[in-house]
Amino acid sequence: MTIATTPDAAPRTVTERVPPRRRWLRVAWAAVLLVEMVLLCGRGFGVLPPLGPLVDPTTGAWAMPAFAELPRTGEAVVPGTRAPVTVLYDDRGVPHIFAESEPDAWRALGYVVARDRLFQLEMGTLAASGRLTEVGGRRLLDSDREMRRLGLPRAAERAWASLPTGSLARVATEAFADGVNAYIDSMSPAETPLEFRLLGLSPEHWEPVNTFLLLERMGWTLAYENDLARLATRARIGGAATDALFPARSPIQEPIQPNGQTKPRLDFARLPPPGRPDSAAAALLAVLRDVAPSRHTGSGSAEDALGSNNWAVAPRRTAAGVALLAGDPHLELTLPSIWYEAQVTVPGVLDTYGVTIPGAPGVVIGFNRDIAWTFTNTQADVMDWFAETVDDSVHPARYRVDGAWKPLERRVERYRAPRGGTIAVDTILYTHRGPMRRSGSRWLSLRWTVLESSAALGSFGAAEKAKSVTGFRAATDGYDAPAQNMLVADRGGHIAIRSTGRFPIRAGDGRGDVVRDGSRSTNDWQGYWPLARYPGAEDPAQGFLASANQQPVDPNVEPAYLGTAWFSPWRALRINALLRAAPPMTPELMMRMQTDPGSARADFFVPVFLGAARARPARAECAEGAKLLAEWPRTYTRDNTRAVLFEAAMHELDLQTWDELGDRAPERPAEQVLAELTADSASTWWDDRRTADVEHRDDLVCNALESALAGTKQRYGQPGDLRWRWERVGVANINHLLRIPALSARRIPIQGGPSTLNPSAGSAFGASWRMVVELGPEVRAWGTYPGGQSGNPLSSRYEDRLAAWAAGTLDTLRFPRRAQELPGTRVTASLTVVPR
Amino acid sequence: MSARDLVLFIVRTTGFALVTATGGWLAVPVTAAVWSTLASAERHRELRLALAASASWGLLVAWTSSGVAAGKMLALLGEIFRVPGWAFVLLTLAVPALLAWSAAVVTSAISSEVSAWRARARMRLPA
Repeated sequence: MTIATTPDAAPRTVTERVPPRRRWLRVAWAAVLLVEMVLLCGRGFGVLPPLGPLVDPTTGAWAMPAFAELPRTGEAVVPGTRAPVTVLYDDRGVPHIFAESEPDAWRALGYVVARDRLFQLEMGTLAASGRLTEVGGRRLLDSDREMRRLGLPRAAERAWASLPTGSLARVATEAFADGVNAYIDSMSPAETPLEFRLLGLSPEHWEPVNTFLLLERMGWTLAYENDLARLATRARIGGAATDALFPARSPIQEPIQPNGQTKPRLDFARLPPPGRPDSAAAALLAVLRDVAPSRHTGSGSAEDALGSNNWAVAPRRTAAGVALLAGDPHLELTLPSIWYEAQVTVPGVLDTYGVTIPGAPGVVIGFNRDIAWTFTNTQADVMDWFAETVDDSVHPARYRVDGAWKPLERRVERYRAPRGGTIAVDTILYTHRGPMRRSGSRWLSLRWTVLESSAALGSFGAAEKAKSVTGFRAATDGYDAPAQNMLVADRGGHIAIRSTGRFPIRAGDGRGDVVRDGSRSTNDWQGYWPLARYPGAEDPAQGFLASANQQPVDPNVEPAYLGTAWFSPWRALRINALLRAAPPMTPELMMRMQTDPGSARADFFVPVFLGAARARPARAECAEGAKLLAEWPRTYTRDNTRAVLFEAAMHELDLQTWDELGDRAPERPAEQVLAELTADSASTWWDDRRTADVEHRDDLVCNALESALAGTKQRYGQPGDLRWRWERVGVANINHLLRIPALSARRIPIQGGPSTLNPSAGSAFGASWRMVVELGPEVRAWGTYPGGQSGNPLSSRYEDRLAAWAAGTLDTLRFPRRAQELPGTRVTASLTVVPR
Repeated sequence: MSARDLVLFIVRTTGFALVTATGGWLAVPVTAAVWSTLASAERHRELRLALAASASWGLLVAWTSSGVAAGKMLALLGEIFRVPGWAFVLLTLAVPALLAWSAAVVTSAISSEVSAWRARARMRLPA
């Protein structure tokens, strides 16, 4: 009963008209809706992000377009700044930082990197520290466990703690963190990057140790090992054949350190036939499969799709009579890019331009007024396993070395859920070598140079200031990991390269591709190669230097073991052939070389296919395939219609030749070993075990070509069909960090193919940065990377460089000495960083 | 709609816009609840509050976003969530409406019950 005391008490009248049951149903429904809406808006549901912050019209996605572009002018207060810093953005979105002191410059860099790449900073940190479960929950536990079991977070903490107070690297790292945090603190909710909204996250404050986490993660990215592949092969076909299939000596010798030859040397030998299975290797394989990082247990070979290149030409071989340098490190391509471009200038101290790893204070690859430098990965074996003897196979507390028990270091790793609960807890045990992993009752510890690295940042910092090749080499003398082929050229006309990093000295035969007995200290690493033994050269007689992840030094010159995971030197062969034959070199020619469609691999193998067809004239389909291949100029241009067939034929040839290894081999032998095998037409490796006949080389090569032709026709139609065009197949894929298709750029047609200088086709890897520098009286430089400076998908700078990158063109890089030198018409935005 | 209704609608729309701008999305149901209690005598107040909340967000969207860039943003969000871009517009208008309506209905019921309970309590009091 209700009491109406006034004439306009209408609702009560309505209430009275509605039956009470229906009314309460309506209220109940509204209450449920209210709770659901509040939950949906505040916490999200399933894959749906929290809707409230997303649709909020003032701070949600609607406000994002207003912050997509940089404000024309701006001021940033960064605590700790001593004097105002001027930052000018040019028309490519590159910040040119002019500061009066180095720490101020790094503060400004931290601020501008955070402004453009905040989510990338966050994501990189979470991934490297094994904290992705805090965003994605349990499904990311394996990935997180991998990072923590590898010991990356611990290594980063130790590297950071080891930096002396007041050291330049420490000061720079702290200043960079100040800059990032100043941006985070000043950021309005409306400026929150889209990805944070999609994941329902808030940016965390940046800790200096994060810089080291990212560097450790880069070390992991660049870790190439084939221990597992070797062991799997050994278990199947014995030691002798394995050593031949995964040789420490590349059968095609075109080393980074010139060996005095004017053409490649083919050290082809007869491959021993498959031997008896090795049961000891099989037992060890089972253990290593359990403990090895998942990336090293996958199948397939990386060498076709991956491949960094660099080369430098001495003045006497260039048109302008000055040194030229080119570099294009190949990594996984992502949006935003793995690199961030910047100039950092402190008068009288530092004046450098290049690409930084977002999260690290310093130009990693770039140039200054006197030198230019770039890297490729050395691929050396710097990661070893040791079988440990422990006091308890389930819960060990000690491990034994030389008969004495030593305590294990314990580190508890807690994996948290998005809302803070604990998903899992691991206790990682460490010996003096590194983290231990368990397989059944066996324990293996890992020693890896990256986990002991702390010098990279300091080396980069010193390299930026070097004035000459000699100065650069001195600056990088202490560089430890990951080992890089560091190429440098200076304005004095000098060029040099050195495979730089710590290379372990091991007991006995020095091999690192075996599991050693950890109970004996004599099996420990006994030191590192002295600098004088690092592979390298300075101002060689040939007038140029180049590297492309091939074996760094001719084993006839330096027989000591350095590794076995060398990529086949197809790209090195091509670079060196082009440089040897080139007219006086110009920057334009260098730029064109970076997307050169030629293929030393095709030059080697196409004749093999043609020869097989000639040797087996009765096989019509083989002849048809050979005729099609013969029409191919062996270049991976976008419009060519034969590369598709060649790639299919190479795939078939690999599968059919190495059938003795099984379909699930962790990694196939490098193609240079296949090339070696072609010299032996009667090798037992050519025999197809599935047939009663004994096949020889030409039989199997014809088989492969026929299968490839049939498969290609089935997939792409008859030859001449547009689907045979390389641009339909040879595409690059650039995924967003979260692999959201709408934020990714996929199926970008490019020129180049497997094992060419631009081997991005069909993969998510490619030239992450292309740079050409002319070291004349005034340094001139060109560069680009796939993507853009901004991490904001709504920004015009998100992927503005993509088209030019795909076309193989480089932008002119502006390198003003002073802020006033950057033409006003080229300045798109400015920022002044000031003290509080 | 009377002139009074129109004024009330404008006041409420402005009010919702202001509280959203200062307090975010959560301010919408809270404000709707308060208003619903204050206007307990108004017919269809829940619906009116929902419309005002929706209109306020529509106005804020028009205020904060520029045409071309907003179109790009809608296209992007549409691609991400695999829905048409306009669905996001609809969602933006629906969220405040549903928050306001449900909060108003629940608050009305509670306030009505509280009033009734008080009245009953008064009647039971000795003279």
